[in-house]
Amino acid sequence: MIILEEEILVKKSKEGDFEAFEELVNLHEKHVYNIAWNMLRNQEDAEEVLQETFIKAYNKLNQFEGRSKFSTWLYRIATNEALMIIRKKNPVQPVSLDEPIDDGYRTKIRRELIDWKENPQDIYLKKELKEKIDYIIYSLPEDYRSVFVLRDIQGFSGEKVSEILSITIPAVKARLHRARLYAREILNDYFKEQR
Amino acid sequence: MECRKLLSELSNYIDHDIDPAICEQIEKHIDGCSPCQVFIETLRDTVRIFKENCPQKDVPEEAKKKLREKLKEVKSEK
Repeated sequence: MIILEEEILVKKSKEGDFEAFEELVNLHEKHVYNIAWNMLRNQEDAEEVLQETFIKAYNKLNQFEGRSKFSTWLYRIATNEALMIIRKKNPVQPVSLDEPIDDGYRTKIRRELIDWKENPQDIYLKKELKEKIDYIIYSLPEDYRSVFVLRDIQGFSGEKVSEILSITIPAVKARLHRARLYAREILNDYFKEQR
Repeated sequence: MECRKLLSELSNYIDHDIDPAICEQIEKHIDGCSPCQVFIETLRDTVRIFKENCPQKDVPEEAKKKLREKLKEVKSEK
């Protein structure tokens, strides 16, 4: 139903119906904003991405051939806009996740039995955890960041993420796994400090 | 299955997106390997923590307004 509605709105928009395009904005602005927000962790930048994404989509609508869903095409524009801001600002030198990761787990992490009990009542700890989350996302290399945000935060399927980023499903899985291992390691250190 | 081999399959395992034969091998392994049990739990916790701490936000009203105004400008320039 939603897909059909979307197709009709895209068709009407291409024919110059501005109200139909505004309906597409209504349907997708929250997703676009959240993709941007979670990749950039900053409201001002997220708003810039929101605006640029829809301006680009509006100007390039005739280039959208309908081979993918409109939402996929739109979220690809949003992800690319967010990546452009990351490249421009590069607030934290991203870690390298290309090195083999086995050694760390064999020698250290696998043998650590850390209790990850959170204390949600403690506002200060909650704030610290949120800062850790921001740090993890900031420090992920961009290829891993986009997969991690789209899959684990936005909750898109592996297939949808592969379409948005134009990469294979095995590549999505591999990047997601490395990003999760990296995030787990940072969080493990954090919970260790809390004990 | 060795711990090392298991590590590479863990995201697929917690996503329930795994070959049943490999899944069976993992479950057999973790039955007798408590470090791997903990590792799996903390990997699951990692995914959960991000989900819980990154809720979907509403677009601020001012940003919505600005976007629509900007699009009208772009339309009139076309």
